[in-house]
Amino acid sequence: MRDSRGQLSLSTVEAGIGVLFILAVTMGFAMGVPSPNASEPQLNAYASDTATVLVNGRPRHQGATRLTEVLQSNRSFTREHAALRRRVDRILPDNLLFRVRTPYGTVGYRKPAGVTVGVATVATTRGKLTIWVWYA
Amino acid sequence: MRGQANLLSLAVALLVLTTVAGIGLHVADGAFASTDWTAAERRAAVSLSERLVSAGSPFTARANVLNRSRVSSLDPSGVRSQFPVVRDRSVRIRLGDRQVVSYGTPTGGTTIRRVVLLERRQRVQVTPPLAPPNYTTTLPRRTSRIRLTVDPPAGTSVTTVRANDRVVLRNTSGLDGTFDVRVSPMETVALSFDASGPLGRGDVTLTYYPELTTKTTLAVTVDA
Repeated sequence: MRDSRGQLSLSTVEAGIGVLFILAVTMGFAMGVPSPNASEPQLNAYASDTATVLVNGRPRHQGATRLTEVLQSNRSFTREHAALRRRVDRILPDNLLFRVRTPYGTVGYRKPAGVTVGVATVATTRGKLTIWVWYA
Repeated sequence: MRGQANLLSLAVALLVLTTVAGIGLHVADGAFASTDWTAAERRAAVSLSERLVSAGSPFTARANVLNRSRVSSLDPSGVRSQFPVVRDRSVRIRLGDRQVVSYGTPTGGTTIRRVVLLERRQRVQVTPPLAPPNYTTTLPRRTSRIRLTVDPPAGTSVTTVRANDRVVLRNTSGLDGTFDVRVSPMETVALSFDASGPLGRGDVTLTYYPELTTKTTLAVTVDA
């Protein structure tokens, strides 16, 4: 063994490497454990609640429910889509934005990329109605 | 001399390594424990809220429509027996800004909010003006039942009452008194009367029960 001038003792070097390794694994636990996405079940609940309330809404004219009045035809949708948008806006809490797709067209806001979105789909007599909800 | 220095550094190295390994295990254990708790909490909160607002819940008239009088009868023991998913966790249920149920001492915990309608039945009485030939009157709002009080003038008998052209009451020798009629809440009701003589305002009194709904949020908090 030659003179170990200027060198750390080998066991210290090994311990240093070991500490680095253990710390790396620990960092993985401290930061990397995927926390369940807390806002998704809540957003899904908001979306499905809105869909249920909309589907069972009391009518304003002669239809069976409010939604069948709005989704009667292309003309009725053009006439009433502003009212549908106001209705959804009022059902949802103020901190949420939404988008509703009906067989005749879409109302609401543009969905931004990269946000957590809750979604619900209901079947109506005129086709599928899909609601997306996200935090503003 | 050199051998002793090596021994010392080996001891220090082992000590440092063991300490770091211990801290690492502790952190990992904590991470696992915390993840596990909130998942169970969230599952309980989501399913409790789901069951409270579902159509089959004892507190709803239909899905997402809570009956006001039934909700005010909610109590902690009722929640535990009807919704066993909460087990012995602390639960708080708020409706709007009113606390309905508080069980245990929930601090923090997981909260799920649901959009619900709160329903109550109004009682509305009308004495419709009746005009021949059909003596038709339309109820302005939908209802699931109507209470009719028929009190025809002397010499006139009311034989048939129709709701949207369906016969709901019939007596060939004349209807007189108070009758309960069930109608569909999904359509506007127009009542018409067959009478042997003239009918006027006050000969028929109608009581109906339209629903009044207000929007609110149901917040369910579950703390393990």
